[in-house]
Amino acid sequence: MENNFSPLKKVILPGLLILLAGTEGVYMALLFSASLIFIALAVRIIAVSSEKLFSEETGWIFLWGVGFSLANFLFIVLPGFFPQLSGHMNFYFLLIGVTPLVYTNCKTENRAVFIKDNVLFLTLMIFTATGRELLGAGTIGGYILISTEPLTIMTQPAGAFLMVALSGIMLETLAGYFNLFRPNKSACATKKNKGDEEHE
Amino acid sequence: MNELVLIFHDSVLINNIVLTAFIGALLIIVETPKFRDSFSAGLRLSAPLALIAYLGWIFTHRIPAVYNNFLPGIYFLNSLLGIHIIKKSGLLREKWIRNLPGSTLGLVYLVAFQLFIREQTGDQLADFFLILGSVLGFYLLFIIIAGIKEQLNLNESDRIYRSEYVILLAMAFLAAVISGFELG
Repeated sequence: MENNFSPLKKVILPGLLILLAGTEGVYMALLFSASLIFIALAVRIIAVSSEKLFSEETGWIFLWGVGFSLANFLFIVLPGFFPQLSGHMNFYFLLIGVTPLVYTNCKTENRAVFIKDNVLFLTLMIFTATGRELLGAGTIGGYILISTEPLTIMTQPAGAFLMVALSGIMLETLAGYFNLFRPNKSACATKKNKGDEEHE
Repeated sequence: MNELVLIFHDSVLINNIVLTAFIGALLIIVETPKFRDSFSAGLRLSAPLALIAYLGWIFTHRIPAVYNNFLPGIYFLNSLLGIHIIKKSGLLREKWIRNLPGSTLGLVYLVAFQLFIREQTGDQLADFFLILGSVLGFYLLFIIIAGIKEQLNLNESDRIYRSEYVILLAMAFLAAVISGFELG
């Protein structure tokens, strides 16, 4: 199943819920992305140090518990220090802790993949949120940029699906055009089937 | 009685949990099999969802208020039970991206629905119909998307039109239709 996913899809799909729910505005997207990256980093550190303590299945349950607890902790603590954030935090913030993207790279030895995926996720979040806020409210970060009637549908769930889909299609097309995700030579040497997708 | 029917109807269509709250969207995109198999697969995902949702509702509205801070933990444990039931039925057993267990997809969906129920319900009879309608709405959309995916796979030769992005576009249009499609 994984061989059919491009590197971009390996970020979009695991992070789909946060891409849809956390991109109502640019500040919200930044908050959600930063929290996800922080939790992913913490889970990765704990995964590395606790790898031999549990069986595989128990280990995953332990990591999920850690991630969800961290999300709850941030949900409670952050508004205390930064009251202006409370307006951007809804129940989807808690779901950062159980988002698959937090766990996709927690056991890989390749740090570059971890960094690349999280940078790509941050880019996607900002791109999607900018599009939704600009088209849906005419603002970016609260600053009015477009004075004409906005497309309010972009701030609604339909706009979230639309913007994530369009972002994915545009970035996949650009990545293919500029050959951004170059195929792994050793992987290519073993691939003989027609129609294999691009891979890392 | 009319009000209860209206609540049920709204939660199936207008307030569909996938199209308005994004709950289960990833599961639908990834786990939808062939159309013929989607009827049973959808049932095997929806039934545990209903069970866990009702359990979550009981914990939300029946435990003493002093334990409210433990509710997220209770939802998490509930979700583990739901995942166990789904895996026993034969789904979510495969590895996913980078060897992530397929059950991770179920975890986010079950936890999300319980949090959603906590936000939306208020210890009333209507909650029963709201949860039932939401689960039915998920099941219906699961079947619809399975049908769309199968048609795309059969009729489209171009890779981009057989991708998950087209499913997201389909969901966008469905969400726009059920919300009344307001442009401004």
